[in-house]
Amino acid sequence: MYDNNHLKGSEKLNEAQLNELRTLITGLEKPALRRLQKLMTDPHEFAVEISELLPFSIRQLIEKGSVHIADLLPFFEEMIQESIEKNPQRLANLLFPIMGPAIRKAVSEDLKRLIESLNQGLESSLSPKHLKWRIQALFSKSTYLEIMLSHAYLFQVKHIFLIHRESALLLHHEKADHVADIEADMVASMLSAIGDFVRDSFHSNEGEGVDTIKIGETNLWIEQGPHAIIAAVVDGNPPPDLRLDLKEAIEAVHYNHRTDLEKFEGETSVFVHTSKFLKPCLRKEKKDQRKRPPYFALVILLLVCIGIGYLVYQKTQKNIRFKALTEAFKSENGYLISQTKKQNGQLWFYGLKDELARQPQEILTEQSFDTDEVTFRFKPFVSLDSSIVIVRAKKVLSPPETVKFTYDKGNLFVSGTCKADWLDLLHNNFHKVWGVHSLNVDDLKISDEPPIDLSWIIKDIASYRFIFDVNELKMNDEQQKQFSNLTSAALLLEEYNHSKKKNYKIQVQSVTSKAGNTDANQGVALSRAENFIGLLREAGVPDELLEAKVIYNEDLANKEEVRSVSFKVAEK
Amino acid sequence: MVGAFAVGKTSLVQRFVHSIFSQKYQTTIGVKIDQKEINIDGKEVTLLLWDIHGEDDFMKVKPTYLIGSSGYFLVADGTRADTYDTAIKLHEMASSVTKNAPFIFLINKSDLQDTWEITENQIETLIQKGWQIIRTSAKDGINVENAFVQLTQSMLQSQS
Repeated sequence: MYDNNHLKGSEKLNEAQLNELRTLITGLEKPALRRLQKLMTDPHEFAVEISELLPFSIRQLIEKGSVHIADLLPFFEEMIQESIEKNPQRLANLLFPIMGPAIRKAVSEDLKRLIESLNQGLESSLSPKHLKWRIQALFSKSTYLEIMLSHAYLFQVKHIFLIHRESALLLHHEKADHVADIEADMVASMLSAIGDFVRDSFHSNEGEGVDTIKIGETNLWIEQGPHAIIAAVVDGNPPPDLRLDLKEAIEAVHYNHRTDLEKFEGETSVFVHTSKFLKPCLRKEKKDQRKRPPYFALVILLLVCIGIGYLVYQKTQKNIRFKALTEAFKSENGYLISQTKKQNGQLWFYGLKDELARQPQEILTEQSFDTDEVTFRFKPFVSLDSSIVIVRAKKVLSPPETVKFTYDKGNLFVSGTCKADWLDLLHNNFHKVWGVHSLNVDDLKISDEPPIDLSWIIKDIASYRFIFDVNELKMNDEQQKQFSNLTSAALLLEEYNHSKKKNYKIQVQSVTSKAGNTDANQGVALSRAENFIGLLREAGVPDELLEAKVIYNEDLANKEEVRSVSFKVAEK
Repeated sequence: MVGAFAVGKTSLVQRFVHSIFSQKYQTTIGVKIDQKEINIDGKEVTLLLWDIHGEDDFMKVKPTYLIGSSGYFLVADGTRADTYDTAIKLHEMASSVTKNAPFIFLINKSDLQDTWEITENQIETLIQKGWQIIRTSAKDGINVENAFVQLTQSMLQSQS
């Protein structure tokens, strides 16, 4: 019954009634419903609708803190990366209109900074401080520019104020570590007041403001934003790029807190988050620590090195000397070194010493040692070194001068001449000589005659004179006979030298004059002398006994004399 | 704090606020900023007071000092009738710059009320216009704290 009535009633509803019913149920007019329906059925339409809301929604989410920009960054970075990998040209085309102005801006900022730096330098280049730097540059390896920059870039940002522009209230304050607290609220307001004062007093534009205030070493750098300003309190000389940091910070604050700034009514807690933009501005750059080299320390180090080097050198030298001395004692006949040691700067020798060996002091003197550098601990022994045995034999047997001893492996070889009675003594006593087991006298001759006196030879040789005809070099027969006698005498000279331990030589003097052709005269004279030397050498006279000499005689009265060869015996 | 020259603006705040700046700021740049902590219904409020140089023939109050103010005191000296007129004139400027921020008209030197030139009729006229008027004495400290409390409450109400 109910259904029938209902159906019956619906048949009677016209379009207007249906619209009214629809409005009552949904609370929406027909066009609105149609729009909703279209949105539901047409994805393109729906996308257009959402696109109008989406940016606003995202901004709301960010402002509420539900979504942080940092959370979104990876997605955007990934998108950009993929886009670049896929089609770099597309992004290049997109960026093209931006790149030009951006590059121009960057170049312009850099130029501005450069000019500011130059200005800074030029403005104060004649100050006493800069003159001091110039003098410093003159006397150091650094250039003036280096010194100037090392001073110019010493700064510290002590405070950063973020100030609401309209109310002059402090939004946030950051200070460097170890910097004293200040009344940031009042300071910020006062800064703002000063800005207002300057603007009013000098009729600056509304958008403009104080950029820099400098009092002594303290700088106040201000960056203006539409709703807030950043003020940096800097000690020293801040570099121009700090200005860029401040600009970026104020831009970041405005970008992230635009709504907060626009609707600011005194609630500053939200601006705590600006800390991450302000803190990077708290820069400081200490003076370059590469000051002048630590000369004092270097000098000390150098002296220490020299000292150590000297000690090492001394020690090495001492070791070398000690080693040389040790070798000298080891090779010295009559010594047997068993041990050496260094103690208290002294070298100690332990071993055996034959009483006939040289005294240690002699060896020390030869090796340039002082006696207080060395201590000896020798015990006596009998050395069988040949030189020691010979000394011992001479001491025991007292041989004549004409006898010579040699020793080899227990055999004493005796040579020379001696009297028969000494030969008996030799045979009876040789066994008393330590180290001598047998005797060899094969080269010993018995002679009871006294040794021949050959001292006449010197006068005899000097008595010969050979006079030549003009330009004659050869001897005549008579002269040949004389020369034979001369040769015998010359041969005896060697024996005389040996027996008397002398060193006589025969000087063949060929006399000539400087009359006429001097060179020819000298040539002839020299030829005569050399001729004689050659003949004497052939006869067996040792070469080392002969010497040629040309003598000029200008005594024209004795013409024969100037063509003679004579002989002089003299010890060299 | 705005008002004519020598009406006692500085004296009013001097004993009740925390100050780090010298008085000479007023005469040099025309304003001195002080700070006052005040407790309103358990809520700590920090007031930054701009004690603006008194207006006279030689120095005008800079409107820019009033921009952004949450509220202000108009100060007149009860013993000098001309300061009343100056205060009225300054109010016109201040209300315009601050976009009708809350304010209180302080008539100072209540300790010398017998010698006042500002009449009760003048005061009544302003009260009828809806102005809040407090008679203060910087010398005795009368109503000074009260004035700060009331202005702060008004400012908080206007923001809510």
